[in-house]
Amino acid sequence: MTTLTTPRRDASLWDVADTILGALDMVRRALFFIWPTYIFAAYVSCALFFANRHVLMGDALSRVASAWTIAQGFQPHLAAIGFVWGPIPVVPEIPLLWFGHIWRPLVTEVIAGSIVTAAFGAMGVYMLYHFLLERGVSRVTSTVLTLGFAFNPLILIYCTNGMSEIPYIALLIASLRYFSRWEIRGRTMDLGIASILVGLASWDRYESIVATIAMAGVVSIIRWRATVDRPLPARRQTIFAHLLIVFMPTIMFFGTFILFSWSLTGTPLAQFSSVYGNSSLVKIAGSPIIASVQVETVSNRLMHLAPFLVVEIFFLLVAIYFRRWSVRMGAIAIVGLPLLFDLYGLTSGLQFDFLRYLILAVPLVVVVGAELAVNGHAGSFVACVAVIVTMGTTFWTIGIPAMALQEYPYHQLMVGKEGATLSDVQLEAPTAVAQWLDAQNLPDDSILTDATYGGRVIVGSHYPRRFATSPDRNYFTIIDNPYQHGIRYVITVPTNTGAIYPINEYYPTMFDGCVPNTQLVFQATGLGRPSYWRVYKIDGPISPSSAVKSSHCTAPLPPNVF
Amino acid sequence: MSDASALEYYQRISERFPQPPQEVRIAAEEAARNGLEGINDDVMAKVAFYPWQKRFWITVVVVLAAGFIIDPVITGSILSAFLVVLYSLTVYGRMRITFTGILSDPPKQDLSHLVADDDLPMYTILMPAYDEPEVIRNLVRAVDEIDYPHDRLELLLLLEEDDHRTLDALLEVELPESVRVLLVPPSEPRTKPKACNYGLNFARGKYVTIYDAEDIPQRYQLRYAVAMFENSPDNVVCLQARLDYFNDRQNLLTRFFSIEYATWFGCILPGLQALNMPIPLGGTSNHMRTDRLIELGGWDPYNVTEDADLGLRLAQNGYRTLVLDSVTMEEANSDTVNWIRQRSRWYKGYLQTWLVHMRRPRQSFQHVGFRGVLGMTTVIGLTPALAAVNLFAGLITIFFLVGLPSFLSGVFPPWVVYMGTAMFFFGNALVIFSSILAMIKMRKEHLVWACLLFPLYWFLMAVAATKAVYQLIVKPSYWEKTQHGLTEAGE
Repeated sequence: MTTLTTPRRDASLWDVADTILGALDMVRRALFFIWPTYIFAAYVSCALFFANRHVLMGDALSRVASAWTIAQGFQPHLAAIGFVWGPIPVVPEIPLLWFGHIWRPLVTEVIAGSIVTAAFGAMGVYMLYHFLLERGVSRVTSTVLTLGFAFNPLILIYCTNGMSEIPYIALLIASLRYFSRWEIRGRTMDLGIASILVGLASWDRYESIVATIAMAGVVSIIRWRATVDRPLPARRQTIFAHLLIVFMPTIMFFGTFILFSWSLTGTPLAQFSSVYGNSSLVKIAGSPIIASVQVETVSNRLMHLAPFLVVEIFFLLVAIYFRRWSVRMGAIAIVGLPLLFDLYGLTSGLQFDFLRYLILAVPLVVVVGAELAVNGHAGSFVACVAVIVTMGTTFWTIGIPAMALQEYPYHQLMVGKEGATLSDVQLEAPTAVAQWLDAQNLPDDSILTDATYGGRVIVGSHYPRRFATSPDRNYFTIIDNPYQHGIRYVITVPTNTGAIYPINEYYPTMFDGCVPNTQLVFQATGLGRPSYWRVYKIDGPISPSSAVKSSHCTAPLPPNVF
Repeated sequence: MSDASALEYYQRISERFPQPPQEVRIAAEEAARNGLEGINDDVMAKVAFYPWQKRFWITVVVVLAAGFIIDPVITGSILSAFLVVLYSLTVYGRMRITFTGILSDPPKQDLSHLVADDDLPMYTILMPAYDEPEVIRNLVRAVDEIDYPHDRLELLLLLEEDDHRTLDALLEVELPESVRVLLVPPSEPRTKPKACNYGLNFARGKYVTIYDAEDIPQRYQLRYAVAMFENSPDNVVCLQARLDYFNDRQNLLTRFFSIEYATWFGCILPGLQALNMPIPLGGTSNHMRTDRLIELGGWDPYNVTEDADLGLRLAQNGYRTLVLDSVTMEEANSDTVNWIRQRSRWYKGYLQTWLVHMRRPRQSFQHVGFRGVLGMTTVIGLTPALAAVNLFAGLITIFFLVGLPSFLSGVFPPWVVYMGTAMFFFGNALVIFSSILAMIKMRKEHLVWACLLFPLYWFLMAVAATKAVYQLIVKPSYWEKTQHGLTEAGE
């Protein structure tokens, strides 16, 4: 009779192998746990790639210029936050710009802005992934949808360029996640967090107020349905209470923004009413910016960008009607309504004709896809196809200059071509101006410029506090009597640049040397608009009325020419 | 009343409500006054400030005064910076506790765990009262409505010997068998905790609780308390039920009070429990194991918020307090002057309690940990202190809005201004926001609109806190009696 026994193994080798495998598994989990940092690293890498090839956006540069001014003093010149734009993303850039002297590209190549938007982008991607999982979408589909969003070319560009779109989208997505939790679990705290996040987004873009309104609408409907067994006064009370939760953070954030704007700049709604406000800029004659866009044009652009959005919505409606699918409309409303507002803004002239105002179409594809995906494999398939196709159509769209004026340079870089000359911003000449001014050893607030064009000079300077710019509270008092306010140099550009430059509004002939008590001391030329930059020294009092209203006075070439 | 007539009155009352033998009464009264002192005189509020505390605070005042004389601008800057940072940290701490409480789910009432009638132990209710003849009828109704075997329930009605108004009213009423009237011998301090300590000497229950005469506890509260005690570890010595107001819609003040109470009992106490911080008890409906309470020396007769003090003392001795999912309805103060009197007593008691428990800071850190001391300081110490500072801070805010006088312009460094402004807007908004969240959680949505007017309530708190600080220095153990019965019960 034989007896089967388990062969004796060498216990120590197996133990070692177990330990190694366990350790590897821990490392694997840790590496997986920090996956948002890979997304962040990818965005920063792309940002460095674009910056190295000098493709920048003007608004992003202006924001960095403002933050650079604040970062340089112990007495924060908070007006430089610039209430033309919100505090986000300017304020997060300030700590990075404390190192601006150590690594100049943080300032000159707007890397500080890129890092901030990359961080927001990674946060948005993280929140989106967990929103999808918590909504009930499978892990595989969630991964596809999330990566499809993260590396959509339009999202990628804006995660790398320091503009305000991605912080806005990230906060909106984060808000969606908690709102979705509230829809599922009914915990009021989740609604509170969601409303705080969407309120915070108003410090980035005012359109977030539309998202708040959408949230309020959905909350009202949900609470109304949930309290069907209560008396009418109780139903009204609960809706009122929940609406307070939704609106209070937005009112607080936006209200304090207005208050600080008024306190620091003298104008409560500088974002709308200032010379840089949209309504002013779209009215400029001869501006390349069109006042309003045809509905057909906007629709065409949207169809180029995200054609599958229509397919998804069609699928969803059919499934709701015929298959009685259960759909949560909250997330769709919170992303969809602001997009509709942007469409309205484009067609009514409230906003510029830029492709980025349709950027919400990309997360909307994902959010609608989520509602499809939770209802079965067919829905998951349609959602994944939609996101992947959208990546392709977006890439195609940004390769059409007529549709994507600001994004086209990025597209050219992505296909291996040169993009710097197509960039929104050229810094060669303003940098030369900055270097020359730095060498003059001037006191603070002695150089008059503005926040937009002047921002291109400020980022090239090591001494941003020397510049008096448009967000300063007394700016228009200073510009009226610059010499009396300590101004000794004025930066001027030609009057036909197609954008607002306040100095040109007050002294339209200064560029041509027609203002007494001024002398041209430096000139630089370069690519882009404006191509000419002049610096005038003020020797005595000047005022708008002292300017010679003649186009025949031409300044002699200065001794310093770049 | 002369001694002879007082004796005659006492004999007449004793005939109707038999009292313990005189020597027993005297011993009980002595124990009520000095019992805690015999166990640990360090924790009594007999003196408000220990010598080192007195020296410390006098030094602070002297240094500040000298600083203002020598260089008012720099001294003002340092003081304003310190206050702004303190405000910010306090708001952060309080919000952390509140939001933790909003998110937490304390154990709910579970009928399956209720103990069978035959196994229910003896339960003692202590009911101190003074000059409250109008609430005696509530007493009768409350006893009738409590669902607990009456043969295992004793209600000790604790009255001062010279409280003739209440005693005369009692003589007109037929009291239930489970009610026993105990006359507290007259002595100083004449406080509720001393009366409760006196009653504790005669308590036969395994568990004991306190109700005020106008309280309306939930019918099954005692049963739930027993069930929770039986299913909790031995170190759980106290259960605090939620207090609520039956007259919350009477006027704006009662609405404010209700919001505060709902937030306190519905969110802050659960938050403290979840964060493992000491829980200051409420004035009534705290259920305790009698033997542990006696072991700890009962209540501090000199502390005007003896409940808060007991909660901290329990924690210092390694015992736990849990939140009981049951509610007792009370009457909210509906008169502003009466409210200020009551609130100033509470704030004075909070300051007393904090000072007592910080007499030996190292010991406090050892017993309740850093987090416990932080929680205690935030909730007990800084609440009245910063409320008192609020009047001054409010004045400065008005200056900022209207126009800062030139002599004040150097006092506030820019970062203090920015931080203070952020606190003013966002800190206050966050507190209101958390109140609204709390009202939704506690299903008191009819009070939400009053949350928006809460700054008015803060003003009243500031007035009461200022009075409390004054009384803490001048008459620390003075008990400011709250007038009850301003509302018909049940309205």
